[in-house]
Amino acid sequence: MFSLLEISANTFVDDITSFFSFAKNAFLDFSIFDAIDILLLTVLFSFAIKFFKSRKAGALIIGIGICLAIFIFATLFGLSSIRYILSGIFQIGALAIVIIFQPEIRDLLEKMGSGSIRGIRLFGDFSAKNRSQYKIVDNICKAVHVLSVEKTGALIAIERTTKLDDILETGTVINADVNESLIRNLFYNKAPLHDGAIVIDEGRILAAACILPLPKRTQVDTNLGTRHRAAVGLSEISDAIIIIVSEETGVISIAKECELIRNFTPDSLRKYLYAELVEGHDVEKDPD
Amino acid sequence: MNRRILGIRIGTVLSVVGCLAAAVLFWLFVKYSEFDSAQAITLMTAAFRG
Repeated sequence: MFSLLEISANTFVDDITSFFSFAKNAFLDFSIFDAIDILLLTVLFSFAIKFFKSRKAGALIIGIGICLAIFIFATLFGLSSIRYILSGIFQIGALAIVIIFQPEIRDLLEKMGSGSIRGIRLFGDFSAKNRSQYKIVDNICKAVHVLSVEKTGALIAIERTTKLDDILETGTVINADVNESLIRNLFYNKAPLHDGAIVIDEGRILAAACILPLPKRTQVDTNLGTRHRAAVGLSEISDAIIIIVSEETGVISIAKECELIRNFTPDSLRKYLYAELVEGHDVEKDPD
Repeated sequence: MNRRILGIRIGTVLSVVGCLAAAVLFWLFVKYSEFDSAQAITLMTAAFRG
């Protein structure tokens, strides 16, 4: 039995040596097309990681990784029965993943066809995406205007590049399209979710009643309450834009990058948000 | 830049480097498989011809 193990180990070492020798020759013959191939693979792997991470499918990936490791082990050491079973599982597994993630794959393909994916511009109808971004900002502004007139306190965090997953976990998942009525409803002072902040990302209200951290470094005017402090606190740890409506005065403020900008009018708020949130917005022109 | 954003940026860079390393290994593995298959075919053909 030990001689069998020795033979297997020797074969394994020979295979590894052969692989490294091949790798050395492969890099000596490296061409521009190989570089493009590797670059595209990097992008693909990066997307795959983001995709599975956003779907909280980490456990699934670890499970697949373990099966793959066992498969490689079985191949190297000639465990043909295990290899046979795992081959069968992998053949079905690829199809199973497509079935499980069918809505997400459809969503991804639609995004690729109709606009840009975050950070990468692809072929598509940019004007349609921009129109939807303007519409989202308009909905937020209309809601904020009404809340300000009614002096209903509100805290709206708009996520940008810094993920707010830990903030979302403190709240209640909503996952609905941004809508003026829904925002007003959430901050209605007798509603159970009116306390705390709502978090918006990519045109969706992700969660409500989220607890925002208080500021650690920035000095906030002592006349301002916890709502404004919490907004500044979040702006310390992320690049989010946080809209605050004061419950006492109805004043609209924005917290961004440790700074609190006060006394927005509905128009100035709209222009500010267009400039900050709408891709390619020209401050000289009005939207369609 | 605050510590959290810096941490996120470092995490992003490490993630990209990791993906690049995985891409290089995968590319090598595929090349090796092609090379191995080609060698196997050559050996089998040579054996068949005697």
